[in-house]
Amino acid sequence: MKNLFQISISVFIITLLVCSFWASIIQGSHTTWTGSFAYLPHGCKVIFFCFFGYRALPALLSAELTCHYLEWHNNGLAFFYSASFTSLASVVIAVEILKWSRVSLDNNINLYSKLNLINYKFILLVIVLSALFSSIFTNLTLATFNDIAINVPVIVRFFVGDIVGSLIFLFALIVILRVLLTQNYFESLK
Amino acid sequence: MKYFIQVTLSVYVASMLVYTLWSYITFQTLDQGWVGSLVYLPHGCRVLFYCFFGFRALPALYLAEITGPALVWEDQYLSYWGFASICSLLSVVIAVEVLKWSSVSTFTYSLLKKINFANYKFLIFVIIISALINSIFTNLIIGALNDIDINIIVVTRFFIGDMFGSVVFITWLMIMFNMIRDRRLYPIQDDNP
Repeated sequence: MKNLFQISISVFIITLLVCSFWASIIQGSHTTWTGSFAYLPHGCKVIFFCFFGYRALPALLSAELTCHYLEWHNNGLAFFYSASFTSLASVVIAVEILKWSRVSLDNNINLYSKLNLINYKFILLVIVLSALFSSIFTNLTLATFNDIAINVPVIVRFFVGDIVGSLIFLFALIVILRVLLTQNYFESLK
Repeated sequence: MKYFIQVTLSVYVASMLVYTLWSYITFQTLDQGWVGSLVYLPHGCRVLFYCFFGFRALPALYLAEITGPALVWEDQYLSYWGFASICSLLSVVIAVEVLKWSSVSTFTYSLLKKINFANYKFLIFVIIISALINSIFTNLIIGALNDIDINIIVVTRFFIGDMFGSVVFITWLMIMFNMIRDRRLYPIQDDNP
């Protein structure tokens, strides 16, 4: 229970920070849609679900819903928030399919190991597969429930954005945690 | 060279037969022709033949992709369908190569083995990933080259169609090969004695 609480608080705050950071950057731009070419919050979903499993889901969902409410609460789409569910479900489905297939399933993945494709196959595949699922089914949900037309370029933008955003987030996280490690901030935890 | 010709002929004839069957059923009622794309059998040919024969199957698959629509129902297709076909084939190639790279499983089984998920993980995985890639990027190419808007419903239909079509095609093939083995119509060396 304590573990769930710790995970929920950490995941919620980091995801909300990343989502707000991303939203504030794209809202300052004249062409707000360009921001979806690097959708950083998708990285949070992938990393936190890969690391913490189902315990991270409540915090991830509530953080995204909160962020979307704070930033776009008057966007005119009645079922705007339904996209968060499908987007998160796409990550869960991608991870479960990959686990089922036993693709390079290294349970000892951690951000301190050397960044190479052998260690990061699992996360890279989750990023690609979840981006494919998310780009189709999130847009399908948005289009169906809100009765709007969404065409293929938007789907491709979602796909590219999820991948690029996740990679940037992953890279940033590795850099930050490596700095903390080299400065011996975690000495007492070893 | 002899093996390449054998593969090319077999793949071309089989793919054309499957395409002809699918298009015959699909275009019986032209106003509801889109229903047929919910079970797009030819995607099963792409997946299975590329998995079994590798790059050697690609020329025949592409030839079948362009001659099928041209000979059977040319007026039902948009322009630049040939480019879209390249993308469809590439989706399978990318899916297979990504999975090989990830070492998900070694591809050493045959259709005559007992059907179970342990044997068929690779094929199922290729079907899912190639269907996802195909549905997005083939529609992107068709939309861009013909300057038309293709909406999310069509993309989803492609995805479902590729998945169901492949599963139906592979299931049918497995039933047929198992029957041939059980009836001893062809002397087959069993991998699992």
